[in-house]
Amino acid sequence: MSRTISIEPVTRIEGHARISLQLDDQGQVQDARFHLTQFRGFEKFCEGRPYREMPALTARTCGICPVSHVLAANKACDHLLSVSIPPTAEKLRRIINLAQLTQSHALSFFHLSSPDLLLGWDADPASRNIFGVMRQNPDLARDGIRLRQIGQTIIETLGGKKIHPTWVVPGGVSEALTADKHAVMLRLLPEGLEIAKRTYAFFKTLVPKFLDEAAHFGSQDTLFLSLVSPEGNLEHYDGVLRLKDARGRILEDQVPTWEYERLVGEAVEDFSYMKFPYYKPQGYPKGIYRVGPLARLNNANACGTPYADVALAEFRMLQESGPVASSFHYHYARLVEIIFALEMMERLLKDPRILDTRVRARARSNRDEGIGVAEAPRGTLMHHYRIDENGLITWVNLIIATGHNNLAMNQAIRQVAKTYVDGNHLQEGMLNRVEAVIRCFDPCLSCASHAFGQMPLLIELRDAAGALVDRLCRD
Amino acid sequence: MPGLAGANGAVGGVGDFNTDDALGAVSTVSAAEAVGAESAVTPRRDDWGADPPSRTLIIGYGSPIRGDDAIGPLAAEALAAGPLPPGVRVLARHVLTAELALDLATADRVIFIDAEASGEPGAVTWQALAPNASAASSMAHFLDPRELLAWCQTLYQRAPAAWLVTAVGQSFDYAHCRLSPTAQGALPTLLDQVRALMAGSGEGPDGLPVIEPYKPNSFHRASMRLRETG
Repeated sequence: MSRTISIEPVTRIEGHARISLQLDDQGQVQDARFHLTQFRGFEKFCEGRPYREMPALTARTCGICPVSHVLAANKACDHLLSVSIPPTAEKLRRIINLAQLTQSHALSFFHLSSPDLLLGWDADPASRNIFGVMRQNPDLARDGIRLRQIGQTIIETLGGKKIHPTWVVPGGVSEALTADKHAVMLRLLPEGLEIAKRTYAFFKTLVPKFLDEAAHFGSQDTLFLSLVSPEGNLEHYDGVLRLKDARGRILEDQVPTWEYERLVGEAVEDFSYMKFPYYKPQGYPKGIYRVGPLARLNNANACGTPYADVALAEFRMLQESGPVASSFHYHYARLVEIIFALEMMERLLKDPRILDTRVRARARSNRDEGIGVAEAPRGTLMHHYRIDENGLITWVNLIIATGHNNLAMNQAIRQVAKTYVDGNHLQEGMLNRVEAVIRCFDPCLSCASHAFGQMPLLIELRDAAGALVDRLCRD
Repeated sequence: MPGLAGANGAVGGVGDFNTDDALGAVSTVSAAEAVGAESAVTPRRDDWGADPPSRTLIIGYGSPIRGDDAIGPLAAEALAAGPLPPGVRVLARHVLTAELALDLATADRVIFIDAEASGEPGAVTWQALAPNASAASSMAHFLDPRELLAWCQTLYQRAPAAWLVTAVGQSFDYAHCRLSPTAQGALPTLLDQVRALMAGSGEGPDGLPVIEPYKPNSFHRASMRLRETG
């Protein structure tokens, strides 16, 4: 009798989703799927609105990474204005983007994933949470809080508010940096870097304990897509698109972001409201690729800052050759990127022109189509707008970082489920591993789903006819 | 907003809002003071200025684009406009996030202000809060105030005396920082209640019932209905 196991919602991720595991007659996993279960339809909502509202509108599609949406939206608006923003404005935008990355990665590592990493996949779910981490390693938990506070404080210092800053505007930023704010941020960074370095050093000691997970957590071949700088280095704000294959061969390079449609196709499936982007030249679903920290580090020639480059070299030693394949190493890549972000923010703040008051280019719309691409913490974020002669939006396409990873996440849960789940002897730890591989990607579903309140973790066993056989519920 | 906490911040959506939002973090101390730049992971006691008699933190939270859910941050903004006694800090937030545990750790008292979804619209109530780890959320970007207190207690071995003051909202539809007439009418009462708690000793507000003793892992509600409308 074939059965289906449903894990809903997936816990310790941003947003709401369900995983279903299809078992065969022998109780072994036949297939696994990741479902985004709720529809939001933001692209349609935006039609008819003035393009200048897009940064504020799209930022509200997500309370988790609004800074990323603000940046991608404003870059699309810059494109509509046909302006090149002042250099100081670009540096300030880079700083707020890196601060967002710091606090977001800190949340993912310290609060969402550390319970699994420190307490174990099979630990009692009642204690496998942040309080378990606090009891076992309070210094790590305190470091996580402080690092998050540092990232959030920089966002607030620049943007004036934490969740939905409106300081970034089409053409640049609305206000120049003041000397006192500059001093506040500079004072924070050395402490942040020390926290990041000691966390990285600690995590390196954990990695050898997870060889099995590294071998089976989404380690199958995919392509890697990200922005890189024109020199091919790590890039989070601007630059060009690069796509590598699983052997490390560069298939696409120096692709201007406004040509993204040449690379990325979008498919839909009837079991999820999330789109399935794919690499167009290889077709669907063969053109599976990953974005985010793992892809960025795999694609970059170098980070360009001292400590991060050392960490990048060590990251590459996780595997004998080629791009690091295992999605388990997203955790590692996040810590490398936190180091990079803190180093780079300090460098940018020490730029002699960072207090320059020319921070905004002013223009009206000068074209009817604008594309803005930036690297959000979870990967490449694409905003594409078309406007009419009155500046009103006629068409929008948003490709969210988590969406790029959709095919890869489905592939990863299939791999993990087939490795660890035995439908005849179902244990919570098995299902936690299936959830945990999703947490490696740190998906943020807020941009593509919409939920009120919370749902319990629900596991249902159904027979081939769909009848409910058994049901477990975890509040 | 109890009962709709999941909507805070993450709810998004197309609201009737201005592009230059008025709401943000409001604080009675400068950014430099609030940051605690020299501190490591040890909270700083001098964030409240020069040796105040007590340190009271007020946190108003809620989504500014969900109608009456904005009453928390709007109340915080009104309080921050002053005058405030020495040793009082005011923060406005969409949601309660982990790093606020550091702010709590240096406070003697904390007063949370939130909207309530159930009850008689316009009713203002207050209750004592105790740390409660079991109030943990499966989501990561917002916390229950009791959970936040438990983070503080667990990590810094202390938690401030805490109260939650709420006003029951009437409408939580999209509206940017615009309260319903009922919630607007409740705002002065809510502010009076917060000021009464602010003026209290930390054991109970002056002239108001003394709060029940702390019971671990309990969410005891010593609420007092101050005003009813409708």
